[in-house]
Amino acid sequence: MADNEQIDAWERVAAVLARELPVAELRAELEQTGVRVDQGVERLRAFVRRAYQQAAREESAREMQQAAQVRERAAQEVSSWSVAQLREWLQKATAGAFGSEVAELTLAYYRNKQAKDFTETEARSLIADILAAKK
Amino acid sequence: MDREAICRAIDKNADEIYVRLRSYISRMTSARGLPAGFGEADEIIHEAIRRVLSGTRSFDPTKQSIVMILYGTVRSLLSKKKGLYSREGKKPLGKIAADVEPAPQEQDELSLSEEEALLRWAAVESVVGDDKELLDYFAAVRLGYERPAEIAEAIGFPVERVYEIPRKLERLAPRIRERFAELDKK
Repeated sequence: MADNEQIDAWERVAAVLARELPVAELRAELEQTGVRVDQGVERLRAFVRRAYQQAAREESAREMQQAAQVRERAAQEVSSWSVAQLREWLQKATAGAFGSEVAELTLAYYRNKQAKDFTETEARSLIADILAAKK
Repeated sequence: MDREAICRAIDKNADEIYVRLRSYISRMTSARGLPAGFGEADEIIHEAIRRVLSGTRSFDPTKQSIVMILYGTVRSLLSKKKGLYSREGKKPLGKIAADVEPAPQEQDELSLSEEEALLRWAAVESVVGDDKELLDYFAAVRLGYERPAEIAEAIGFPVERVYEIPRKLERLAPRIRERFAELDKK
């Protein structure tokens, strides 16, 4: 066998031994060589907890960033609409033209606010939020 | 499999995962040291977990266990061709004046050497030496056969006999442990 082939051949044997020998036997061997197995297992568990929390934080940050981008795109879309278009969209939305979920979201806002108090800015913001939620 | 499920699976099997991976790392690293960037063998296990959790290594939980996935990741990390050892020679060394600074480490200095690999195999061989079936089995494994059916075909045994090998190894395990202990003392 060539040089590296000897190492590759041993690697395959080492893999079989680590996979097939009983855990109790492998544990005894490690402890015999001074490895503190219980401590290692606890460190592994602690590492997993930390890694999971880190991964969850990264995932949450990614989702927040994506949501912000969607909201921004929706706001840009609505910003060019005229007041008449805004009113027409709201009428259609409350009538259920864009589905029951959009109708409920729009009506929920109306319940807390009189239509006459509804400013153009608020209408744009509401529509942008609903569009973003639906994307 | 989502991250939470992976974490639960690792936690549930922490003892087996740690013992099998740590044992493999001990047998696959040189007595002279660990791959670049690692101060302790445990850090290699942690790196494998980090990679699995990051999703860079996907797997089908219905076909593979978390123990085997992590095991495969550690094997890959320690692979001389594509793992951590293969990067030893790519560390930035800066401009070192040859007459002032010590010469940069050779790429393979910390890797498992051919001599170490041979000594470790000899330790196992000395235990299984009188069992022709096991010797043939290991000869096939050393040549790269992995699946029981392939091994059976290569050595001319019924595949059922290959499935019996772990039980044989279990019986020999204490003697293999003794031989490795002797090797460590040298």
